[in-house]
Amino acid sequence: MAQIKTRNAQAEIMGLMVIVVLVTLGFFFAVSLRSNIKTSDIQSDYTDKQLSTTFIIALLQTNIKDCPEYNVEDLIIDCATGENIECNWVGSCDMLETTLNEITDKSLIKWNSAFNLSVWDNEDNIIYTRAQNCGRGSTRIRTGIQPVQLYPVPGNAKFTLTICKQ
Amino acid sequence: MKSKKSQIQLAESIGVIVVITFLMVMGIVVYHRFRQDSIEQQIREKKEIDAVSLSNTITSLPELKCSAFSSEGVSCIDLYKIKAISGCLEKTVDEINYYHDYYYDYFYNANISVIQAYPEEKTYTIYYEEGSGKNIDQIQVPVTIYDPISETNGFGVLIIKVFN
Repeated sequence: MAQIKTRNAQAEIMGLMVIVVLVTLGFFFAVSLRSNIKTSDIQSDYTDKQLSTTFIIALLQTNIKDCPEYNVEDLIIDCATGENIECNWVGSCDMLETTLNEITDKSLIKWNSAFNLSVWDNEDNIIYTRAQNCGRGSTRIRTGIQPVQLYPVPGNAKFTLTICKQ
Repeated sequence: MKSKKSQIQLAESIGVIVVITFLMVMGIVVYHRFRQDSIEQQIREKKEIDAVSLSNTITSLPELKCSAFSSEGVSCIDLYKIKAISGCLEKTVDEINYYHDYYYDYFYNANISVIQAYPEEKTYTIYYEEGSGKNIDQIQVPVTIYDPISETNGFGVLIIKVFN
């Protein structure tokens, strides 16, 4: 009689344990499902894409304040192919640097964006570079690349803008 | 003796029913929470898509768009069209209302401005209607600002703040 009672008690404890295990599993399942819910980033994705691609295209077409007959693209081409343009007795490379610094100061730097804006010549030498919070410890989110034809000189210069996240 | 045993068995059954009910209620609450999160997420996505499509609407509005600009992949806004449309806000009260009534169907509750960064730094407010919303979705679109008189391109950013 005593043996039967002990067996019954054991069976009840087993049943209780099964319930506890099921509840725990259910809880973990719910928590993991909740943490895996993908948050929406449509707006930030769009803004990053717009910034990385449209920014450099708009920049290339911008005319230079001190010599409006040239735009940023003309200065990149001239700087990469031997500096013939002079703007107020300033060479194209220096004028390019001044212009891009002024525009980035009033936009990306002012907005405290993490970025790296670079211009490369046809031999992959850096003509211009400026970065803010976009190095070690940050993640690169998106890079926009715009090739600039140097015709009749072979090859292309490259204008890149990388948007980072800290 | 039998009565006591049946009472214990009844108490056991009641206990089991209480535990099962508790588990079911917990399950329903958790499910409801997930469902609510999912609906909130969908609403948020819808609002974000609306903000993105609003930015596309604005850059393609004939009231702002450059009349002659062939470059692909970049939005061009005419400097004098911006000045004209932002000047509308400074007119008499009746005209401001008329202006808002007309553009409200396109922009709803939003703050749309163009910040010219180069060659000069200037801000033009195109449309402003705060409404009662508090959460703000902000989209920045780099644009070319074309001056048809000097035939030069400047650099600017179209800023769209959507009030939810």
